Amino acid sequence: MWYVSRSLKVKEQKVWERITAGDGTALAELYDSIGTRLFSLSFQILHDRWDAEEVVQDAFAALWKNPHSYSPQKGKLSSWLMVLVRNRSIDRYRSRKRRKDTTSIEVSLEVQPQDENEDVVSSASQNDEKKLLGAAIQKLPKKQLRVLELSYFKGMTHPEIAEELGLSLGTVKSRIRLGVEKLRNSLPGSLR
Amino acid sequence: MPDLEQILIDYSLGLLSQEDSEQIESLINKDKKVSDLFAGVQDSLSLIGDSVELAKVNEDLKTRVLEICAVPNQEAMELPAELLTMAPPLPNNRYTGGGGSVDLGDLGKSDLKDKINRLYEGMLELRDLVSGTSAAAEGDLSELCKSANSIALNVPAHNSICSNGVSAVPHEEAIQSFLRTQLTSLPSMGYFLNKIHGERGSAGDARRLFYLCRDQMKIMRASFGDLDAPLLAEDEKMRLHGAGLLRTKWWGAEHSYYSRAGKVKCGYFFEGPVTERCVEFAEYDSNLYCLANLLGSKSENGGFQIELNNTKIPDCVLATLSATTSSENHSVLKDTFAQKYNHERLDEDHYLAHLVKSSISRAFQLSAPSEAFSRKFLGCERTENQTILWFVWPAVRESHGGGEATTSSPRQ
Repeated sequence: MWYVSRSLKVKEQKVWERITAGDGTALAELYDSIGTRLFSLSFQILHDRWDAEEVVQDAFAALWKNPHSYSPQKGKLSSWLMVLVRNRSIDRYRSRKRRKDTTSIEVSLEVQPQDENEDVVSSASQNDEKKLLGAAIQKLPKKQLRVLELSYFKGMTHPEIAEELGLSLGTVKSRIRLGVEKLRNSLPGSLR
Repeated sequence: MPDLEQILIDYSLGLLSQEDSEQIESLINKDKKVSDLFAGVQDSLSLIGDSVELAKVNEDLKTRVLEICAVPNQEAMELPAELLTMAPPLPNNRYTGGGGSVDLGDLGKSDLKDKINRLYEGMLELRDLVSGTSAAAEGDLSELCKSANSIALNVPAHNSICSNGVSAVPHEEAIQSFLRTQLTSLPSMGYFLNKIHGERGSAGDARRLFYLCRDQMKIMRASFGDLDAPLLAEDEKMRLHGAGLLRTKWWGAEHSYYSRAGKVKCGYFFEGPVTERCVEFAEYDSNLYCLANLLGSKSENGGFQIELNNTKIPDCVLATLSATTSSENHSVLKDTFAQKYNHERLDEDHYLAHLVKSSISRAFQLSAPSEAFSRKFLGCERTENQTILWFVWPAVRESHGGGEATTSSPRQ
């Protein structure tokens, strides 16, 4: 599985190079490898299917129209797209000015039954990675998890989180940073 | 480097100011250590995103995404030469919509007022059935299917509107308001409602109904000021509406004028605002629907392509719709735009053309709607086997303090 992840990293860079050359089949490959994950993330934040579809659609359009907005030095293409979609979803979420308390990292970690149409090898590897991620997140202290959740999925600013949880600004910042670090360090190297 | 890592996390989460973000971007581009750390932060944050439960994705999303590949980054449509030398005189005060609004009472004693109220109630019901949080959005069309027929009963049959007492309405603007609510987004909505009632629909059709329903309600509120006054007050607030909202809505859509359906392609769309208020966006939308209905019903396969450009005509946005047509159908379209207005003798196509002329004459403060066509602010020309329809709209001059509309907002 780790070999799969490593080769994916190299594969992604090649896919990006083909996109910069205007190869439409590369965009299709990229969608197949990450489209569901991007949609799921946006849907988790927005809880609205049409909004989430628009965010994903617009993210792919932005990459296609301006592929050099990404560069390999910014990390993995999939990571960059995940952050892009997260930020665009949060922009929408903020503009709706909703504060529905329905997002929970713990709830989101259930591994879904496998879709019959999905590629078996890739799906198995994705599920394994999800299990590892789930385990890593469950290992995080609850206080760190809560701060990460409010920051990542609800797009709350540090002062907003500090007020919501009755913490100092410094504590909020350090909990986010430590949470991110711990999450990264608790995973095998291939997933970092 | 905990401080730098913290800053990179904040940058990735969109928490830094514009100025700070630019500084960080510059550092990432210059310093290998910073870019390595940034890559690590991005990977870590994406892990959190990856932890969410996988959701079922509607099949047509991939189709729409891949249609991007066919979209040129530059204007693809060949424009008539006369259009490229146009320099419309801009009014001192930019038109921001709402000019064609009347009250329901202006419809007189006819039963048209009841029709409008019933239609709006139907739209309220439909909005919930096709929203992004509905069962239909998840692919379960059973509830929508049950209600589709009763809602579709509010959609008039083709060519029935003009013989339905409209000409007896004494108030010209009330006639236009009524027809705007009947002839723009409503015919396509009827097509999709019937498709879903006939159990031939999909989640993609529910999505299309969502956009049509939202537009229809917005057009109705902009047409009749007393129909839903509280929501209209929201529609009248300053709020920029970008070209991207139109691209997203029309991108890969199926559009129908009554039973004549076809596929819409989006060509070049500029990035930036088109209108400043929801009531203005409703009017702009209404104009696009009018041209889409006219062209779609005369095109070779029911389909057409839309482009939106803000550089061809000084200080204006140019909307163009093109499709392959027969020379006979092109002539019919051209005559439709050229015909003089007489509301007692017009058919639905002529009303569609007249609605756009009236709107453009408001936007440019022309002395008569017919000037919109004679001065080419609205046009119909042919290049080879293609008919090109266009209309010109004053560009938003500068950004202001108003927020930006988003799709989920019913006020968009």
